Amino acid sequence: MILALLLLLQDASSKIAQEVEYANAKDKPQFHVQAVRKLKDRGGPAVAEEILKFCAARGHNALSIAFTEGLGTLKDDRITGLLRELIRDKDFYWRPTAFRALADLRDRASRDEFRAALGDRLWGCRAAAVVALERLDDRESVPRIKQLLGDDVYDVRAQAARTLFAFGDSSGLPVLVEALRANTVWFDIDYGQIAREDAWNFLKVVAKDDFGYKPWETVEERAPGLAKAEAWIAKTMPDWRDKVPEKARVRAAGVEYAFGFERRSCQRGDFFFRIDRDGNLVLGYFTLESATLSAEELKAFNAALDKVKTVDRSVPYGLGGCDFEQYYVRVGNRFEKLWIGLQGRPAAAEPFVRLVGDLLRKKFGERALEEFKQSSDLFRTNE
Amino acid sequence: MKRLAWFLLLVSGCSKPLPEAEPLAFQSLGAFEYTDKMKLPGDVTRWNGKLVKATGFINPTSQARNLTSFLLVKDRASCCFGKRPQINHYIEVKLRPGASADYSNDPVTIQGILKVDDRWDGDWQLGLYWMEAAEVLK
Repeated sequence: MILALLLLLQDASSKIAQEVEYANAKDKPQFHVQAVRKLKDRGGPAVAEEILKFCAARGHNALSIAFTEGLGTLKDDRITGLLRELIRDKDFYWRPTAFRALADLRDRASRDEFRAALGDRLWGCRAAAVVALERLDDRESVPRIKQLLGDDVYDVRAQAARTLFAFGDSSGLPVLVEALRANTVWFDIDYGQIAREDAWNFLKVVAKDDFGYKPWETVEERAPGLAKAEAWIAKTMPDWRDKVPEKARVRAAGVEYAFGFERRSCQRGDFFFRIDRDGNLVLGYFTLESATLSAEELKAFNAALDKVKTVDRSVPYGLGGCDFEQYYVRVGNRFEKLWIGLQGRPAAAEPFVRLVGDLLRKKFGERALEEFKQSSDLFRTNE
Repeated sequence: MKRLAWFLLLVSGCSKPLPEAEPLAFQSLGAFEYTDKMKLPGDVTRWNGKLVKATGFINPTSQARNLTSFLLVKDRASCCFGKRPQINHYIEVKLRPGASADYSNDPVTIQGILKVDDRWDGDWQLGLYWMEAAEVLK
């Protein structure tokens, strides 16, 4: 009888170990969601124990994003403790997700860290911290959350608006109404549509009216619906336009670009800049900052870029994943892309990266240089 | 004579026009909430065994070059930036023998015979949608 019980326990324990393994297996992404669900259904102290064992043996960065998210469904003090460790680990790939998981657990002991994260360098952490403070009903954070209505990134502004609304404060709604006109395009990606859909999905519930249009329709098709949405907010807030912070205002699109640089990094955050047809260095993708390059600076930039252009663009470099930099090189009327993953930057691109760092410091100061540098080393080839 | 007959047979086989691949939108595969071992909707099973071409994104792994198999997911968000691909939101693609593809974060179009088959290994679901001997069109 005792032997049978022991065998059963051993079997359960090896199943838990397999589920934790599969929830994080890099070569089995199709198992992640299933494994997380199995662990959640199983619950109990043995699951927490196995997870801690896995982390201790493999390190934080062995965790998958799905698993990190799933930790928010496991109610166990040790898991909450692990999530607190994960949000403090600046090198952990999925910090924003860990913040969201901790928000799901409504971890009151992390309140001060959530408050501090409203100023985190990763926008995903800022947005998740707003959600967490909403879940904790932390009304003392309202003034700080209001400041985020003017954040550089739409997702943070929108989350701030939604959280304020949940607190009974409508002051963020103008940011969302303004976003219904978002027209940001990064080369072939319509980021504007993502913002338009997100804002529309929220406002149609608040207004109990979808304004008679869909956010993915053409500008002309959307026009009557937008007028309706603006009339709706003007009824309760006639001066709503004045309440849209500078960084949340939609600007006229139509600038033509000669070059683009896109760096997306799960680990360290994103960085975007372009050179427009007038030789301006334009930073960001949603909220743009622009500085004119002198003829000499532009010449140096183009000379460094010419070296980058010698790299074969028909193949990717480095490791695949969600950290990469991409160079948009104009060839006639179209752009060709050079894709570089972790540890893959060809030597011909290094002088370009150094020159860009110098220009960023000169034109936008140390903060821009720091943001650029913090993820730059990830792509350098290991020698 | 026998050789000539074989040659003619081969030529006539080669000249037969290939069937036209039907464009398959991911929305047709993923527009239902999947529950374990459910009977799949007719809208989905009707694609089983058809030659299709589907456009999506390659789910990145640490290998960036010479991929011979990969998951084709429906949008950029589920491929790269945080969203978890649901079981009915991707196709497991195996390229035809000798073929390979490089990773790209641009959309790719894949052509092949789609198998709709809820495959399990014990308690573990292996996938719903499969494409074997596939080729990358762009």
